[in-house]
Amino acid sequence: MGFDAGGEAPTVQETMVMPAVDRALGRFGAQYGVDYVNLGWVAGLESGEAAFVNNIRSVVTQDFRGKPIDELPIMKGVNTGKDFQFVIHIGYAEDPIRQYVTAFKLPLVVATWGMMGPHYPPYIEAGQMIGLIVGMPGAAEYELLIGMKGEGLKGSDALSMTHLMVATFCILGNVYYFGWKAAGRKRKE
Amino acid sequence: MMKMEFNFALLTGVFLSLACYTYVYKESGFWTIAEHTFVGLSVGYGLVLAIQNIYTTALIPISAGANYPLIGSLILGFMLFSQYSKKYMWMSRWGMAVLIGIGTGVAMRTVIQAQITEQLLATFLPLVAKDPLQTLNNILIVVMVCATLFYFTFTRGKGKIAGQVRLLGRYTLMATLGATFGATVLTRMTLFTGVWTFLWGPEARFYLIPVGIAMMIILALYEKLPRISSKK
Repeated sequence: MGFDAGGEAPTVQETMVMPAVDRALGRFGAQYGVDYVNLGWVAGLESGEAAFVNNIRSVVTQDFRGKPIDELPIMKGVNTGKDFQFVIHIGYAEDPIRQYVTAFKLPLVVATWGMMGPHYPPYIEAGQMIGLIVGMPGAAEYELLIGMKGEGLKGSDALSMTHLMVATFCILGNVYYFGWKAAGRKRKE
Repeated sequence: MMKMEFNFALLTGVFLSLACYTYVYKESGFWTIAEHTFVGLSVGYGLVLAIQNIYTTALIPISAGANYPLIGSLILGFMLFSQYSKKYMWMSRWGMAVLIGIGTGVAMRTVIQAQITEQLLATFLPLVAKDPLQTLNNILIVVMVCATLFYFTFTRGKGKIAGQVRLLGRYTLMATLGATFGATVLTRMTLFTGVWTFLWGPEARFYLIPVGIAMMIILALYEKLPRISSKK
């Protein structure tokens, strides 16, 4: 079951995530509405997430494709966080930790962008998160782990080259800085 | 040979991506087009989503005779628009107060446990573990957390030891901020490689070169023309 409390993701889900899910789950004969569903956007950011896990039907009445959720087999008997078994969150991790993990003791896996990587290991140490995918390197590692090579691995070479370029410029910058400093000292002498 | 069909969406994607990169040169007309398109689309998309959301979660249940308390929420929401009138601006504060109050309340309900208690408990680690690397890791976590807390709590304590502990706390903060800064820079690189993976994709690259050349010619002419006319 996918939903978004941010605002930009429903279309991303429908155009990118859902086709990927279709491809991945299609191998096992999974069907939309029966095994997975896109519930679209829920307003209110963290308040929206809290409302969603406390009573799904209070904030969502139909899925992203406009079908009433009570007509979807996957939604039968599912209405609160207690009915979930697992959460995968894409984005910032603080909100889901507060609303899903602390409130409902749900196991949480987070996929986030690289800049948030250094902030989240403490949550793994504390057992509040059971898995973390950080940026494109994390996506590449995950693809390799599950044996489904995709965009992450494809972009890794380019990313490694840019990292190498940044490291080279850092070294050159330092060499220049210390050289300039040493030259200044010599001039003074 | 691969058969190519004209793809307007791809052409627009290539044009807008290159238009954004013209900012590296200067704030050109292309950049303005890309900026305004992005802002316009985002606002339009957000507005449609919001209206759709109000329609499905409030108007349909109310018209079906259920969930009447949502009428109160709709009124509070409409009161936010009173911001546009100087006379009735005070009314918007009610809606804003409810929004902020609920947001803070919902977050505060679990924040103490999620981000203070649980994190504090995770710091109570055994200083000697079976794995020597784990032992080192645990010692570093405990010492650095204590030093950082000391740095913020005892800002004015005198003495050489206190000063050393504060220094360690400061170094810990610097290391964390440095890691965040480095990760941010590298994330930007990921975005850059992502855009160029799209631009150099098997279909987009057919549009990339002609669109890029056309944009460069227009930019060059735009730069040259005023100078030529001023010489005349």
